[in-house]
Amino acid sequence: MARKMRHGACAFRDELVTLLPRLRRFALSLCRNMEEADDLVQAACERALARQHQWRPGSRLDSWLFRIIYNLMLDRKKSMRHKNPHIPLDEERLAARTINGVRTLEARWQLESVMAAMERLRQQERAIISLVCLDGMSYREAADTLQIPVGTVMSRLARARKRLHALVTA
Amino acid sequence: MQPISDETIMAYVDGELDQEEAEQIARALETDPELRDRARLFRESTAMLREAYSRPLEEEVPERLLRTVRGRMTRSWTDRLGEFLASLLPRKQPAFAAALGCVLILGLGLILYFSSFPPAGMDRASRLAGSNAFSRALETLPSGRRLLLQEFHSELIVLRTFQDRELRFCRQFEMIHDPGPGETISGGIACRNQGDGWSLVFFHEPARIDTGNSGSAGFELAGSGDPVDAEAEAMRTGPPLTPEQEAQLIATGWEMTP
Repeated sequence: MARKMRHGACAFRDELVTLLPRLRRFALSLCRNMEEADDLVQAACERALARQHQWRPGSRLDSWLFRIIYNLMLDRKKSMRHKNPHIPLDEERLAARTINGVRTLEARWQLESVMAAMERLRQQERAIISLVCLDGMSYREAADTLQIPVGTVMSRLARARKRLHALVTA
Repeated sequence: MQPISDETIMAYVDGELDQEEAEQIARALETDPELRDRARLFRESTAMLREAYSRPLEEEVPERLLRTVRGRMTRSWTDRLGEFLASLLPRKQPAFAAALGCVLILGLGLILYFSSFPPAGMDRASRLAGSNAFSRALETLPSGRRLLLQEFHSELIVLRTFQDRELRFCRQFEMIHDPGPGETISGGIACRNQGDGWSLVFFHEPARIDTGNSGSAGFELAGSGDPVDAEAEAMRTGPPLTPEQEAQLIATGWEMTP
């Protein structure tokens, strides 16, 4: 038991570290801003570390973690019933885009529109969009991660992307 | 000709169709501008999303997340060992260094264990899992009694014994580290496998690092009291064992009562 546990714990943490950028991106797609996303990732990592002995080596660690993040977000939505229509933007990132006046304007409009539009979608739609379009998962992989049928992934993904596009380009 | 659904166009754009279907759609796209518009919509939606959410992949991971995963040191002693060893080799690659550190623990870990010298950076859960004293305590310590475990500078107390869904015997415990002012308390659950001893299945340690902000406060587990209690409740089948049942199990080496 000693040998197995030590090796497992060490490899687990290292793999978790390499996944952090993708986990942050997934969390950001479910949240209003980067700070909120990092709070969510931190809570998910704490939960994952406490339960690491339940994770089966050989199964996908990234899917397991995405699921933890997603479920934590749903718990939060249930317990905190406040609505915040004002969406703080990532100001620093917008400021960085100063190549020329037109491009800055475009980038600002794009960023604000996409994140604002995502706020109008349901959490599950955001999660599906994030896993497929951002993380590049196949429909099957996304379905397994969220534990829903592939058909549901496809129909909701199509509808959500159309809606997102309409909101952003309106 | 049958109308092509949004889902099919989308699947084509996402590369999810098999070759035959993809060729069919490609041919249809050549002659149908409306279909091309619909395909472009899906392509654009992906592009705008990647643009909007590129920041987490472009910047460094914040220190507080590294600390959460790695514990007190963001570069653990295994990283430093791995880097040192990797520097002895002709090619240096960070991922390799980390893996090397992990692999070598297996060898060095045993030596360190036998000489009772736990490395400061090694995480507590791993050390517990590898500890004979801890296993022996789980085998023999009745619930409610405290036992000092020298190697951890901690007192162990088992709170209760119960059975999980697979009818393994599990014990919920707490450890009081450095008893006295400034003591910290961890909690966990270990389960007994037939013929294989005790496995640590859940371990919760309070954060020892001042993150300087609310940290994960916004995302407490729903209905949170003690997370270990919650986990034990989720695992438990039937009521916890009475002191008499526990005493009998300890006396018979944890054989199932007939």
